Amino acid sequence: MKLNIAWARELVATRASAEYLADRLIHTSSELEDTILWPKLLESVVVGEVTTVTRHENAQRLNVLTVSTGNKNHTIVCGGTNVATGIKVALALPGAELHPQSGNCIQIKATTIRGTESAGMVCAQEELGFPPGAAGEIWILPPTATPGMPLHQYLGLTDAVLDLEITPNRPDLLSHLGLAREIAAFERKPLREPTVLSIDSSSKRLPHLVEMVVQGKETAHKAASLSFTVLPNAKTPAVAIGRLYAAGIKTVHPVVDATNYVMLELGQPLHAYDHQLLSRGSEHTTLTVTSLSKATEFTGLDGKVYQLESGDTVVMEGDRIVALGGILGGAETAIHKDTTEVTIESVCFAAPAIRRASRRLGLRSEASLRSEKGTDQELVVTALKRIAELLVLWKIAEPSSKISDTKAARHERAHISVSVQDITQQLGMNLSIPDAKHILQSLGFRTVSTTKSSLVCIPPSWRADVVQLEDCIEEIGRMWGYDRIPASPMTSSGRAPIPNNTWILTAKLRAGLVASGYSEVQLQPFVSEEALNRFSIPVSTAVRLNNPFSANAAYLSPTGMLTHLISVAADQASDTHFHFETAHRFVTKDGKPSERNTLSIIAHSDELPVTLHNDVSAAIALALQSAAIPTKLSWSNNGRTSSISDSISGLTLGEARLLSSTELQQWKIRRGKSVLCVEIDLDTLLSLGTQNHIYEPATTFPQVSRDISLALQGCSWSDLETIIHKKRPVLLQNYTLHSKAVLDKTLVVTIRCIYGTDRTLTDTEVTTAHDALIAQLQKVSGVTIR
Amino acid sequence: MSNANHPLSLEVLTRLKSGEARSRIRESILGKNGRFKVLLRELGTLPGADRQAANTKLQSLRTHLEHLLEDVPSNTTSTVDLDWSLPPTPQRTGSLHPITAMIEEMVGIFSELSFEVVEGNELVSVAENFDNLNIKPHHPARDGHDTFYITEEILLRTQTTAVQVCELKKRHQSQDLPFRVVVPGRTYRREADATHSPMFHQLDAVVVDQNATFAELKGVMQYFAQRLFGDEVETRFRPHHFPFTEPSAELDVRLKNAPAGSRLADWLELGGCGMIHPDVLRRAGISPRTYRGWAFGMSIERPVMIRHRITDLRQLFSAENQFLQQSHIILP
Repeated sequence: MKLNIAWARELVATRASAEYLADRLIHTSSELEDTILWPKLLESVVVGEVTTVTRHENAQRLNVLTVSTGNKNHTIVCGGTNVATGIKVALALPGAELHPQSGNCIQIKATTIRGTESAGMVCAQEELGFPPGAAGEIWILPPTATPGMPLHQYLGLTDAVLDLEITPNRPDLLSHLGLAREIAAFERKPLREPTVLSIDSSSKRLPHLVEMVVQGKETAHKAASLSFTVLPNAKTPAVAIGRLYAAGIKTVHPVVDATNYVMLELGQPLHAYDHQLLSRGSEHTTLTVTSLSKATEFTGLDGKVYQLESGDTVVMEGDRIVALGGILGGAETAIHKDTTEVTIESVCFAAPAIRRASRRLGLRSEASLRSEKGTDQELVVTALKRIAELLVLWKIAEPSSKISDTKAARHERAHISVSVQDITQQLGMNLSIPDAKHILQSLGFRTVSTTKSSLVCIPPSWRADVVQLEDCIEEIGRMWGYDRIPASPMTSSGRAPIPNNTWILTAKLRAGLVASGYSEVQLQPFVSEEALNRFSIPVSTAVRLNNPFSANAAYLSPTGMLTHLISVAADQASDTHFHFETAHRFVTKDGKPSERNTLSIIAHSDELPVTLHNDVSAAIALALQSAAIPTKLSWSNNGRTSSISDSISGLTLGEARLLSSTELQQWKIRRGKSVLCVEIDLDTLLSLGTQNHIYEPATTFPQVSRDISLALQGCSWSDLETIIHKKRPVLLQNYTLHSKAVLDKTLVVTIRCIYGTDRTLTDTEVTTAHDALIAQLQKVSGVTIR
Repeated sequence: MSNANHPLSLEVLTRLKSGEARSRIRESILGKNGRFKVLLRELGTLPGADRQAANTKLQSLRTHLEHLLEDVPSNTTSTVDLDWSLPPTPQRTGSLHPITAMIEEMVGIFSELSFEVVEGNELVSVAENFDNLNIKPHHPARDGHDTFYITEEILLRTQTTAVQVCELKKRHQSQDLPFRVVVPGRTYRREADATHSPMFHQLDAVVVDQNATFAELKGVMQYFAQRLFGDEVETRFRPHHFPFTEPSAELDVRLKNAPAGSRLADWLELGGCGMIHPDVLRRAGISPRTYRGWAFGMSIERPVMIRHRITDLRQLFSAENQFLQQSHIILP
């Protein structure tokens, strides 16, 4: 909402600077998005009068004008197609800096155009930062303009225009009156409501009555109409033009301009029909606001054809749709330059239907913006009386009927009780009832009863958002000033917080992985069906979005392995990636989407798979250790895939994949030989809990270590472990994989066995035990002792 | 044996700095063929009593010289081949994502104020994400332009506030009031450009207590802002509107002495907050006349971008090592 400060000063007598008012508005209701200083933007732009027009000698489409600014004549080369002697124009003198809405700043200098000196520029509206006029034409000002007068003064744009962000709960602030009311409240100044023309409904019967009818509560709350006869030589006054332009609204026709003016002033959209086109000569015309029962076409006054749907709110005359309610008038009854009789309609529409239609059709006008948020039904008649006042004052039109209005929809207004205690409990500060009462009254609330410790108030008709105590507290708090509410320290809740183990352990796992040289990533989860197929994930197990951005991002990846792979493939700059991510994953289970917590890892480098696996498994082991999760992971051997489980409980914890060279090519991973990825289900892993380690005293008896080297062919480490666990000699206290190497394409492992007991062992005892273990391991097929 | 005619006086010896020179001199005096050996040999030529006296003197001088020359500080640089200034051999280093680091820091601050961490689901119902929070069916946020729907009823949460009513209900039903929680997590909206990502992160802080007030909200959020941006931070609470809080406010921050180029030189919106709307409390079965609550919500990406001066949000969601591992590069 663009608040014209000069306009606001008519509604509230304040001398405070625009800057100060902006700051107070920020602190009480609306964020400031921009400040537009027209006096500065229109510096060195003045009213000029064209006294001569001659064709440029060297250019067919250019004219050389003499433009008078009262006491001085300027020679200006101009390309406008509508120049003529005697017209008043906006003349930008050398030194002016123009800021069109589209495009760059224009610096005006005295220059020579095709051999003729030009001392400035005669401007079109658009060049001045105003809404565009007709293409190729310069802006012709009203004939009353005084040559030499600075343009911003002529247009009444003498102060700042504040572009304010109005929150959706405050449609009443989409008007100068509404914002002036806020200013009046914090400035403690009276609000001066705009004057209206009193139209005596009992006076002589005027000929052009158009009766308003509302069908259904879902269409409108109240509607009214008033007809006028347009006066000859009607012109929109300069100040009105300035105010419309500063709001970004084009001038169209003096009557239409007045409807827009009233909308900006009061917040009530009005629509003007050509009365003759509307009534088609009939004495009794009825306009019905109704809900459309079936889809149909409608031609708007912009000449475009719109597809209306059943349920759209429309205004009908007979069986014709003459307007799309609150959004756009129809072409058939639109005002044109020869219109002599007009009917102005004022309706408080039911917002939801307007919002639906304007969104669907992509029609967001200044009118729809207000109607779709809900207007004040008590403004419906006031707005008509206000436009009557303006049309008469501006000599644009005279009323030719009385006002026809419908009965207002019943509107129960809440009686809200506010006590000192309520204010203290909510805001944490003490405020007296007289202070609270003053704030509420200055915002238009009525107080129906007041005691020392409480009051009962009724919110005004334009504050549909205020329905209960907390809404009133907000009004009191914001007008008192949030900055004046004390900032108090937190009081004790009286209980100790319960730690969230999932959160704590996940953070420890992350820290463990980082310590092992893994970088955390945050990846978008959206993948294509093709990616799922390529990674052999059944599409039926993935969760599909109903409204994806594109088919390429229609699914949520059920595994982090896939999103890692996609992002690694996208980072062609690196040939190594050691990444991990902790995230929620989504899968379709029994036809329903479900969610789980996961840890996924990718390792990508030039190393052999065995090295990558060592890297990943060591990192996971360290992470598990740093989180003190009591588990020993067991990785199964299934060729290129592995299932990871907890060897203690047997629970499956996750899976791992080693990509083949063909797969790497498919994923276009050109650098780095091996890619290994892992996903672990954190919900299951963390269900194992944490372990409090019980420390034992260091043994005083020496331990003896003996190594065995074994070559493995067609046999895996886990096969060896199975045997060690089954046939474990009593004296074997521990064993570790001491080293591993690939020799002649055969994996050679060295197991270090630690023997010991609660006394000192003899060499023979150790040898016997160790030989027994070797004998058992030798029985495993594919094992050769080295 | 007079000091005067000896080329090496004791003073010279004590002032010797170079270890090499000292050991050379030591060798020349006390060594195998040193002067002392010669002197000792010459002792034999003296008569018995004199020999005894001379020997005592010589031995005492020797002890003194040994002490002087023995305590040579070993100067290893000349003999050990070690360049102490060498940097370490590059090792692969890992890094926490700046978003996670930010979340952990924020959660840490709230944890110190006894907030409990709740993460909640990312797949939520329309009721959880919208209806429970007073976001009515015709609210613009609900249409498909802003929200990813899975079915008509299930969607990817657009805000961590979706957790609120479930948590309120749970606490109310288990008679676990008052409570204070911090809700960090992923959120999703159907928009994508340099400042919007379809997947992003938010953090909510929620307090329900008989004593919860707007003043307390102000106090806690001011403290939070100071912890996050330092004591130089200024805060501003500005009226705003959220369907699920009443009164509502936005919290702006700026730095008193912001460094050049910092976005905190001018007021910047950090997040939205307010007293929990009475209808939201009622929906969870909590009486707004007994308990009140306040809530604060913010995006994580914005403070991350401010702190690390990241201009394109999309970089945060890539796997580019060049981006992720920048925190390891320290240039002078």
